[in-house]
Amino acid sequence: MKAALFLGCSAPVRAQNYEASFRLVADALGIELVDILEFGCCGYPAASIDDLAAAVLAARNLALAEAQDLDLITLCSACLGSLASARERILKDDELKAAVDRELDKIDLKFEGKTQVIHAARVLYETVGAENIKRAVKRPLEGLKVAVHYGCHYLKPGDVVGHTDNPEAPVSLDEMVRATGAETLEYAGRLGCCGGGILGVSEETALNVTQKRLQSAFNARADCMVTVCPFCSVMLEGNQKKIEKQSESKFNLPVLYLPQLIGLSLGLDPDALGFKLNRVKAKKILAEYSPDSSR
Amino acid sequence: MTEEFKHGEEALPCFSCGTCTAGCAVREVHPGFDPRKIIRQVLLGRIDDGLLKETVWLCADCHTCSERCPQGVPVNEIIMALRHLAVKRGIVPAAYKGQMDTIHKSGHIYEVADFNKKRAKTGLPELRDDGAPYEKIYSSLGLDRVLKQEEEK
Repeated sequence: MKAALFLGCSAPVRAQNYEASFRLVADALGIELVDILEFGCCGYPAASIDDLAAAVLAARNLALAEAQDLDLITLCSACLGSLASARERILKDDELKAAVDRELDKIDLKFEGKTQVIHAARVLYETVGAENIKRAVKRPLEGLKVAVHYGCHYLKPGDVVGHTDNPEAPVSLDEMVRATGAETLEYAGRLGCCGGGILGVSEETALNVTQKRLQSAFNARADCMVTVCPFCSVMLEGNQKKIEKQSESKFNLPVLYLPQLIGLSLGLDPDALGFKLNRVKAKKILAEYSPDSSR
Repeated sequence: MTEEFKHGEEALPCFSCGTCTAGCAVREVHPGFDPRKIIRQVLLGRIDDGLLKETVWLCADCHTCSERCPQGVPVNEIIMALRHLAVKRGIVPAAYKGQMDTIHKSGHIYEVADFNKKRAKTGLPELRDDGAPYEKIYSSLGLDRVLKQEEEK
């Protein structure tokens, strides 16, 4: 498979470990990624401001991928939601389509809707498949207990982004994590929101939402959490110290991106997978499972 | 229903069961936020200042309410439409204004080229900021004007 990698804004700045590990794992599993330097914001912030603005910002990126006859892979779940929802809305609404066409014409682009939008994790699940990941594993992560955090926009709206996953009972991330040899946990906050959507509006409320997720994974005795969205990780990992202070609790819970975990099981170098950029250090996990650790 | 708000009809099937509120992640930690009540306010035409200035911006946009509503009310979309109404009245939270302004200037919510040094260290390709297409889009859609306007008294 060959597709354009859509970085969005948060991943290339705040989640370079996610980007680096996905590039490596994609390469190892036979997915060819094309960078399009002209890509811009997915339109997510504009969705709260104005419908047409959000549609135009999204469609600009879709048109750029379409011009190269490529589907588009997102790292960020909010980018996925924004691009896929805009695509649906534009294709279903002739009036909106005409308005978007007018705006794109001014910047010499054309949107026909040929480009499909798919999340990086879903590419690994649907194109590669959990069975093939399992076959490629060189260093099984046996004994590792993982709290998978699906987040919201990877699953919902179910009819736009959910694909084979039922938003209320998803399995894709669990199956891939289990393919690495690790164990996935059933825990109360498994499908909960990270709170990231309101960090900029009410930090205290947002962090209280995140605290619930961390507490729930911690109570389930997870060794780490696994996410597929830079914003979930900013909340669960980047803000973990602040939350510990605010709630007088101690989690010290590593939060890994799915491709980091898969990469580790494929025997890839932890430095190349960006483990040094993780804010909560995964020392115990690396001591146990990195390629040069003795077992 | 206020004439300005066109999404009231989508709320009509609501029978106020509270499934939206029961599943709301924000509500769990912030009792003042209640999606069922927001839909009620829309149905009764009580779209007041408190709703537009504060409440609607507290939704984390997780889509759980819309996904679970037994009556198919697009709760999440109605909250977004209320935000659009707020914006028309000059209410734009600073966080959104900041992000929209940076997109205008650079195409992203961060000036991504500032991070090229760090990206090179991680072995990642260089990125570029380019506000030119956004300058055209913003001025054509009147977004620059919307983001500069003062809040209505």
